Amino acid sequence: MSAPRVLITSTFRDSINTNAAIRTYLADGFAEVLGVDAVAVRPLELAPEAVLSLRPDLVIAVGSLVPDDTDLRGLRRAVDTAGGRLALWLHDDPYEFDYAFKAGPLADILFSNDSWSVPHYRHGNVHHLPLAGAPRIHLRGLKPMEARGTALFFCGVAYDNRIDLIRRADALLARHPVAILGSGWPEDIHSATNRRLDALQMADHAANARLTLNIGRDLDIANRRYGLPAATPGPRTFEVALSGSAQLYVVSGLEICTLFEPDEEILLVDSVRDIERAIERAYDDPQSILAIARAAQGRALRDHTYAARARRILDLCGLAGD
Amino acid sequence: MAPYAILLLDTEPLTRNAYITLAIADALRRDPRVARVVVADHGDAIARFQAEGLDTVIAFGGARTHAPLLTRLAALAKLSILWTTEDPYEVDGNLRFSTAFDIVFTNERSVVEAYGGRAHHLPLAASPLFQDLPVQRDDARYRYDLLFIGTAWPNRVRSLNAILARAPRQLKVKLALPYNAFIGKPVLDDPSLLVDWRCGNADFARFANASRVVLTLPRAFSNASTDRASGTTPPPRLFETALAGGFQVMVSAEPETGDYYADGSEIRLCADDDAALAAITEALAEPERRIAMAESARARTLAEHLYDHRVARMLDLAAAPAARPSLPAKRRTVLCLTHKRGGHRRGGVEVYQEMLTGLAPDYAVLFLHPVAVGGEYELRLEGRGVDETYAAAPATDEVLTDPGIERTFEEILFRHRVDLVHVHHLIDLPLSLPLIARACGVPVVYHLHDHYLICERHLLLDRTGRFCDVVGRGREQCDACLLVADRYPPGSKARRDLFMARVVAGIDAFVTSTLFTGRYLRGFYPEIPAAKVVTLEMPTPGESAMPLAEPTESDRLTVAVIGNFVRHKGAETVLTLIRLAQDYPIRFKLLGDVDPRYRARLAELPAERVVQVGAYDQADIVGLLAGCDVSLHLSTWPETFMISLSEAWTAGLVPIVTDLGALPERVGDGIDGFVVPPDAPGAVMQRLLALHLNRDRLARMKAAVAAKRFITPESHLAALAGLYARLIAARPCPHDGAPERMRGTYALTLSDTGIRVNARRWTSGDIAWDSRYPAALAAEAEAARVPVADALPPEHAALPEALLDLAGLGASTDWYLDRLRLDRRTVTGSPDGTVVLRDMSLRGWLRPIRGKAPEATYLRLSGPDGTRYARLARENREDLVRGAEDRASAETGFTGRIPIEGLPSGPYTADLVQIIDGQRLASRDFFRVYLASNVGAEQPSTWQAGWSWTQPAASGTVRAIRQNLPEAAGPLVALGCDVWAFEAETDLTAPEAVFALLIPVADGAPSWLRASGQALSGGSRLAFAAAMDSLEPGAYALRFVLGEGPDARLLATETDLVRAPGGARARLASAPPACFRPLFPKRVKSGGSLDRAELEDDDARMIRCVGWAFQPGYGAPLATFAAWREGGRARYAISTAVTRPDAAAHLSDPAAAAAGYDLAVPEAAVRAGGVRLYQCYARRTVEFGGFQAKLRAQLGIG
Repeated sequence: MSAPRVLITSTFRDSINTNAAIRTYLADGFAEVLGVDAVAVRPLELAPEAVLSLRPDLVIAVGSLVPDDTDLRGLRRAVDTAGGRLALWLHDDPYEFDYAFKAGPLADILFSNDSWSVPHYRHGNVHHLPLAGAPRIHLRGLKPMEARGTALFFCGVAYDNRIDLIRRADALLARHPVAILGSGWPEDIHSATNRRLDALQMADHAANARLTLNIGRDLDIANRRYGLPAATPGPRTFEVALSGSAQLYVVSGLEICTLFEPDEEILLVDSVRDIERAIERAYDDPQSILAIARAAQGRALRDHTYAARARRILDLCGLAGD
Repeated sequence: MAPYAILLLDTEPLTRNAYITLAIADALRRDPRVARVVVADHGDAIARFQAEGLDTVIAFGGARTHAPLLTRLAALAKLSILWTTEDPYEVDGNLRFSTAFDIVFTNERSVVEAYGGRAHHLPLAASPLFQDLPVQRDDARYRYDLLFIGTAWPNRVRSLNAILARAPRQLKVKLALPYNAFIGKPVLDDPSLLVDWRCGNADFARFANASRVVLTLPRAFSNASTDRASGTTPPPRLFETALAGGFQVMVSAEPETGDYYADGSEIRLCADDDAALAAITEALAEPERRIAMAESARARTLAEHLYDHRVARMLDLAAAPAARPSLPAKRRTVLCLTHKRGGHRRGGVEVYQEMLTGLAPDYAVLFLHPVAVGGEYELRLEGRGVDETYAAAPATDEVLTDPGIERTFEEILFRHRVDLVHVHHLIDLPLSLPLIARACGVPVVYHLHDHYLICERHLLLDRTGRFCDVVGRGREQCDACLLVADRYPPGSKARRDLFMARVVAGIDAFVTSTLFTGRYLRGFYPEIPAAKVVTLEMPTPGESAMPLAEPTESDRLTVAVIGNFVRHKGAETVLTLIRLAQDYPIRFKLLGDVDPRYRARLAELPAERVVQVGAYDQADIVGLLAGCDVSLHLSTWPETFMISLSEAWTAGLVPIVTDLGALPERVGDGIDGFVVPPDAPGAVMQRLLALHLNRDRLARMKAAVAAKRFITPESHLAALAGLYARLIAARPCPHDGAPERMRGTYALTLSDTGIRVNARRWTSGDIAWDSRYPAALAAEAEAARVPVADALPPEHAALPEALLDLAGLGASTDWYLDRLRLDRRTVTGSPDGTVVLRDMSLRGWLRPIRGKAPEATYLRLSGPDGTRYARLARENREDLVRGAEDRASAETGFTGRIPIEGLPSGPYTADLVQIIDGQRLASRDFFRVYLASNVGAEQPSTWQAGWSWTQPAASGTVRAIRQNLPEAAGPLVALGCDVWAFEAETDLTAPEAVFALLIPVADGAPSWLRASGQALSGGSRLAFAAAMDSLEPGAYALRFVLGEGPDARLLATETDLVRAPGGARARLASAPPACFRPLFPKRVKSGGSLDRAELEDDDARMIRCVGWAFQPGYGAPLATFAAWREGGRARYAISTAVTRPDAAAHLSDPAAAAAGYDLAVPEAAVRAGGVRLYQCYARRTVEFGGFQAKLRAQLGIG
């Protein structure tokens, strides 16, 4: 049996898509599994045409269902004409779950990044599939602890929950060489700096940090109907693991324990005091922190790359072959 | 065979416990008695129930939310089950609406009796789907010592601080303490803990499984909540924790908890924090015993407390589904939803709609259509004995969803017992309405009169006026077309298509006149099954008998152009054709309205060759076509039928049609007509010559035409009735008649059906996030109309009334009026006498009183002829909820639009009255308005300067019966900001033209406006409402003129008016008021207050003086005025009586309430000295000494 042909696209137009890179990460993952020739990647605007000409066995559209100006019905018609299957991998659950209803008539199979959202879909073929890390972008060599200039790194949008945490830890963080970056940080937080990083810079910063803080998101775009809390850790968890930094995971759920082994591959924190202890440990016992970083990187390379997700997709779509 | 095919519906569209519904569905699927389970939303519950052949309904949650929909669903089911989850908090609503269900289960044991034997107790439970985790037997592998997850009620925070402070060691704790602004951020003694997070139920189970002790603390409601009902049955968390392998310590648990788990062997029940601390300490010290107890609790759960057990009990107690007796066929009601309705020939759609009234008596036909009034839209509901108007919105074009209109639509569907909706058009209506009908279980027929389902440009003409074959060529050009032609932003068509695809999917049948339109629609929406498209030929109204073609003049050809002469009907082609034919004896006869753009071009053509008949009556068309040979139907758009083609054939003409849409389907080229390309005048000319120069061929074709037969209106209606009957039989709508449920609230919106859109309009590129949703959809929408009743219903009238002082509460924290609109104008502050001509609408909320939401909210209007009550609609206000314990706040919203038509005119005081907890709580004097209900105008008139006609001689008087302006010792005083509402009666019959005149006391032409005249028995009523900023300051006398020309009559009134120039509500005069007693005025040194004296912002340099003065013992003052001398003469500023309740309160004398004054005196007089303040009483005049001094002091004049 020849390798299935896969076309990867997005669920909405590139003009407003800030996560279009995920499409190429997944394409890399499929290429690793199926070979480069079996994989095509197109923005949504060009996908129906490509579907009709390439006639892939599986079309995977990655992204969000929020924008109403997306012609996913055109993609669906093209897939129907070409005779393949259409999968949607929605990666902004549960924050946009109110738009999940749109998936119903469109998708043959659905993947959601969030495990708690999965049972709430009214669709007969829904599966949990967390996002992942892309080695080509995020993988970095493990630096010795002594060579790392940053004690603690975090980069992200300053959601309310993140502001609350960093503000409470501000005095502690101010005593250490930290990099709290991103956008929207209020001025009263001394340890934070409003500065955005791209994916490569983010990986470099993490690789240079003894510890990287992992704080979940607390901002709903469209989650009024069920108000679903997130259960699955975000993609930074996998990306930072590839970059070789030990992570302090602020616990708002325990699904993390199914993705990384607590204490061995990731450190769980429930208080500012836990963060303080971890920073002390990073200096008092740097090798144990390096061991966690190394183990996490190994686990991520094994289980949490887009190639791993591609295998899972093929398996669930019955296209895994032998 | 398993008897139950179940539809399961969570009755709350917005819920934080959707997982429980999933757990119940999971359990139902395991029950051997259940064949199928469908979990539905409000949008598709009824449709799926009917389409999938289900027999049983389980409504999980409550009976009150969307009760009309639930009641219909229950009526359709052979077995209907209600499982309430919010008792005892919502027991009143559940009791009232639960009667629609066959059997009731309540989560709360203490309320079972209240249901009078109809309910059984059924606690919530645990689910293997989410919480099935084995107990962790290795004590070292627990991650946390203590877990607490719950809202941060202050008592809980105190307990946690106490327990953690006295714990035997530093505990590894995991706390989640969500909070809201009302209860405040929790302050823990250990500030290091991160407690502001939340998790889903599956994660909760993981935490419980990973914690040595799971703590449950009671919630103690603060302040006014002491009499709040509380339940005895534990929440599902008890069972979920046990199934997740958690060991539980519960503080102050209800005794009923012991019925589910044994204290001491399965869980620990503790009386207080001390006991809880001891239990925790013991559990940590004795892990083996603790783990054994957790094992026992889990085993008990698996044996007794899964949803499997609850479902089994439910089905044990419920009777097997039994067929309900079918209702005898009665007259059905069809609601025609359309964009306009007109009696004249405006287009085929309107003509056709009116024909549908011929479906009576089998079908009562109602029409619902939008009407633009005063720049805003109303919805008109019309039918035999029905004439209702509902406020809609300022604008309804391009709208996907409008919550207000959707609620109104739901109300109409249920209240008027509609069995089927026949959509003729959705222009100027929210596209969501067919989806609302579907949610309500009403089948929907869409009539394809044009191509609106495919494109907003419903004729499918591009900006150049040519047919845009969107199906054939694809949609790439759509954005460009709409951008250039209509300035719609990019993405608009995709947004419209996305939503319309959902609308189309919800329609039960599409009626097309010929095959083409249905095929074209299915080309655009391939998902439409062919069976849904019904082809039904459009009848020709009026004539159906075919007259024999009369011979016409053989040397001349007469060509009829039937229908409106507009571009999309081929006007350009016809104009070119007329010129092409100029050398032949071919005459053209144009029947129908001519677009103004073509009038000049047609006028240039020789009248002997082009005859313009103009607009015609439908019934006359065949007669008008007599003598014609050929007809032209040269539309540039794909017509869906074209009635004028039938009319031409009926008159025996040979038609020439364009090769678009239905036309080539209907015409056999060369047989009973000709088919030509669009925009091809040369081709048309060739066909005309072929007939003109070959009369035998013309005769043959006329004979072929004469042989044609068309569907009669009767046959068409019979076929349509057959379609209706088929759809209604497949999707019947049981109409509820139970009195206790008749006053249900209608609150269904698109959001409730499970559909969310980015923005209100498809032309908007906005994406409204949660923080602005659904407010962003309703921003422009107006409240739904609420009826006004003469009395409260008996159950509310009998209640004791108590005063609720809103002034003592915090506006915006305890209550708020989000919107008050008078005549569609938003009002800020509290109106005090504002004139209302049409309606008032308000939207607001008031925090729960004693923890309870109001059962009903009224606006009580006390006016000149008694008291009326408008029951405001309840509005769901999730935005007010401050946490899980504050659900009642969501139900405290009120909204409504109150039309004033029919209310006696005059001043009204509006009180807000809420029915709460067996009491009427009245917030009195909420605002005051003057209802000018007899004016009959949309907005105030303006005074026109100069009356140019001759004033007729006075020939009678009118009697002023009501008006709203205050008087200043005789004449009325108006400010520029006022609206003057005036109403009078006369014994004369008012003609159509009635004018009000203000005749200046000084020289000058009268100002005038057109007033309304309404017939009364034995006379008439004259009324107007005037914007007084349109009148020049000055003194006037009011007159009315009835009629125009030599027969006009002038009627005098006793009303004099002063339009004051500034802000002071007073008039200047050269004489004191008549009540002034100049002899021996009493002079007092004090007795009043000059609150304010300031220079008015005008050229006259007047000092405005505001204050009050009062002398006890003389009764109420009649007039207050200032006097001074100017140029040797006395001058007076006479104030209107300004109400000063503060003065009355200060003096403890109600007579002082009229003691206020507001007048203006010249600055020069103040500087010159000698300004005096007088007040007239019935028997004495009082001068208040020191007024001049006070004035000068306030103005800083030395």
